[in-house]
Amino acid sequence: MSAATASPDQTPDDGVVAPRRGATTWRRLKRNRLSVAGLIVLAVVVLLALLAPLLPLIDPAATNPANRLQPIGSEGHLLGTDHLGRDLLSRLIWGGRTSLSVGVFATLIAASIGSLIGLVAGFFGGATDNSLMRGVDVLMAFPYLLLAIALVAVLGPGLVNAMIAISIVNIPFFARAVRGTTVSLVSSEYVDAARALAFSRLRILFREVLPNVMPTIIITMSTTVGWMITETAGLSFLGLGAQPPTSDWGAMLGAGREFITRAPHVMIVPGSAIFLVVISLNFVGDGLRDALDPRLK
Amino acid sequence: MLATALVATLILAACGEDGEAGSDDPVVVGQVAEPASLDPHVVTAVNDFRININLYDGLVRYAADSLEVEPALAVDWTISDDGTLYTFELREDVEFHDGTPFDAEVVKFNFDRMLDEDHPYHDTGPFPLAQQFYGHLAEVRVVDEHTVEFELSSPFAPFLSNLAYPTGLLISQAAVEAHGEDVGRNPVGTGPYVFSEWRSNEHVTLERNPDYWDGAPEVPGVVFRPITESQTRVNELMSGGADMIVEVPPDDVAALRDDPDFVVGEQAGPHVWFLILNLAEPPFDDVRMRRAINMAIDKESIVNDVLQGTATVAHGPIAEAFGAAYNPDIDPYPYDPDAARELIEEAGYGDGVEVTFYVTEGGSGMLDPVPMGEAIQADLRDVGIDARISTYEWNSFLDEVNAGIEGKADMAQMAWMTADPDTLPFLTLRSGAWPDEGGFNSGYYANERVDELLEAAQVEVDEDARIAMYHEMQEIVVEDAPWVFVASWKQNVAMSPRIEGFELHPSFLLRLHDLRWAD
Repeated sequence: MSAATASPDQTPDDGVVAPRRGATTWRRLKRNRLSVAGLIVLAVVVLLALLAPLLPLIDPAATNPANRLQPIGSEGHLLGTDHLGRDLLSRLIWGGRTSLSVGVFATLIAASIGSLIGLVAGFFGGATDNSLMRGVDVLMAFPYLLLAIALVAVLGPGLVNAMIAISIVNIPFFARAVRGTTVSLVSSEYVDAARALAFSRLRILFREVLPNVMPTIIITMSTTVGWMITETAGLSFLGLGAQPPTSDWGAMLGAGREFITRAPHVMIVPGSAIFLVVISLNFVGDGLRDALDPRLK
Repeated sequence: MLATALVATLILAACGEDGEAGSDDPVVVGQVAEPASLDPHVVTAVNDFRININLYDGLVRYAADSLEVEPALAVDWTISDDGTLYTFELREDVEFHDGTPFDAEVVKFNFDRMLDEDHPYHDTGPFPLAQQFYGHLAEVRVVDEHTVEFELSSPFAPFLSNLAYPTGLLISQAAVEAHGEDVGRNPVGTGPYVFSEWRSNEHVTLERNPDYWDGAPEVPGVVFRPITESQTRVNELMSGGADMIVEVPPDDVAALRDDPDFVVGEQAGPHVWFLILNLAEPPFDDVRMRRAINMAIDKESIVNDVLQGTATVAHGPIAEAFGAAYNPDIDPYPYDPDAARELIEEAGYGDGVEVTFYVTEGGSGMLDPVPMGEAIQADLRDVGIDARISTYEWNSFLDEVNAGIEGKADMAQMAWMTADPDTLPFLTLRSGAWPDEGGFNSGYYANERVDELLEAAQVEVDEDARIAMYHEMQEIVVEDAPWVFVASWKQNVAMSPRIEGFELHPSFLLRLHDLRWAD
């Protein structure tokens, strides 16, 4: 598709090639049963999260301490209640909105910044490459959770700050993957051709190289978004993420820890949700990787 | 981390299999944290006091079941009429664990070390509580080998009670001279148990002192294990890895109470859990708002449901456990959201108001701060107050709150455990105790009459007159409502029924002298 844009007389192909490739990807993805199962689970979860305001749910912040730690299946509370008597089903669905959107946004931020660093480093090479990638190495040298905790300590606790911290610690993964692909593309013939046509370097970078790096970015995103949801949950579990009464799966898990012997469902409910979503994301990510780039299989 | 805990549990479970703990085994106590030090003059945490009280003795100690003072290493004492001269007759037959004699010189050494900046061992500190507790001390004089005089610069009523506090425990002079700052890892006292070993993050082991002046303990020793995670502590008790655990989580107290395999002990202590309100800024500069918020919060539900009955409702700034100093006639704020709404309307906040609420994640005496904060938040929402919670880790929370909350927050959680009814109000309610004066009055409460009463009570030697001052002070403070008075904690332990001879003490200390194994 991008090779097509290299010479102006081939531009009509653009509209034809792109959907064909998309269709191939979809067909390949469909053959992977685990990915399809993952997609279905994700679709349901996302739909529930999006529709939360419309669903007949109890207010997730409404406490009723006298009615605390009700088991799964109790009257009026399908998934029981937590340590303050709040409805777990409602908190799970509302919490899903928080956890999913934080995971997705963190991924988008990390992907944008990381990919830009990788593209620039790989494309320009030399001193630019060295200085950028050494910076990335420094980021990578810290244990990711420690770095995230340190960042939250500086920024103050809260969901937005947790998201920023998670984004920052994940920048290196994108930067490294994208740089590797970029380096191999820079010496390809269509880039040479674009150079011969005297296109500006920026144009070559964003119109020729970037589209061909996209599969790498998408694969990295799909495999890390689950990881980021887990990391955000980890920060919330430690009390550094969502502030009460906002529900968020990690914070729910953290609060349930104290009742693990007396009322394990308080922990099992959000724990299973995280598990289901993350494993579905990983299945979909694996499927996407196979479909987009068979060489990586 | 989980894996390590599991392995540790398995190892301990395996050890337990070669026979039930018998009369030859030490008693294993599950503590809440690793001690900071075992130097009695350096430490400030109840967690450390719980070990020290079994290693050392003071001149005086609390009676078995109250905060009344009784003789310990001093057999008798006299106080001059003006309340500035204390003369102690010391016990004559006592030796430190290292064999050095206990005498008047050692007593002088202990207090000079804490208070005299020119003392050769003053640099083995710091001694954070010394000024607050013994700052009135002008001089300690050795009269003869077994008589010592304390001269105060001015009368100070809590002095004797402060001597019974764990900061007044006496350490061997020879040990301080030999170890310097490291004496906190090599403690030598006169107490019922002798220090044997401290392995960081594993245990502190004490052995019985066969020559203890008040009768040798019956069990061969005591092991304190730091088990930070409360749920792990409960699991350790159940699996036999600990014979006794402190600070049991509320839900487990409820369950263990009904379990015949365990004994649960509970006792109300001199503890107050409250919300500091920011009197410097709206909305809580208005006394109507402060009274309203005291009525809007369902304290009964917090102590009975959230805390599962492990606390009682606090009515004022002095805990009921202080006995006579507590004023039983004060009129507590009822739970009455309607009345609260009316007051809020009157104060001009009928359309709702947003406040910032500082919550800590944990901390000594803070009970279950996050769930309690959430319950309070929900109650306030019902009366139109939108409380925005900011959670902080305990030490950064203390930094933020102790520096004063003006410009940062409208309300903040806090809790104090003290040994004398004087300490808490003196440090937190006087206008001379605002944060910029080095006190803990982080919400900027000021009332001239309260200042007068608190200062007069400190120098009042007549007990009845002093109590009358505290009573009046409580009435004024409850009326002014600079805090939301929430709860008083019932401290607890859970232990194996095979342990006998243990009673919780209102001071929150853990005195293990009389422990014995049941047959």
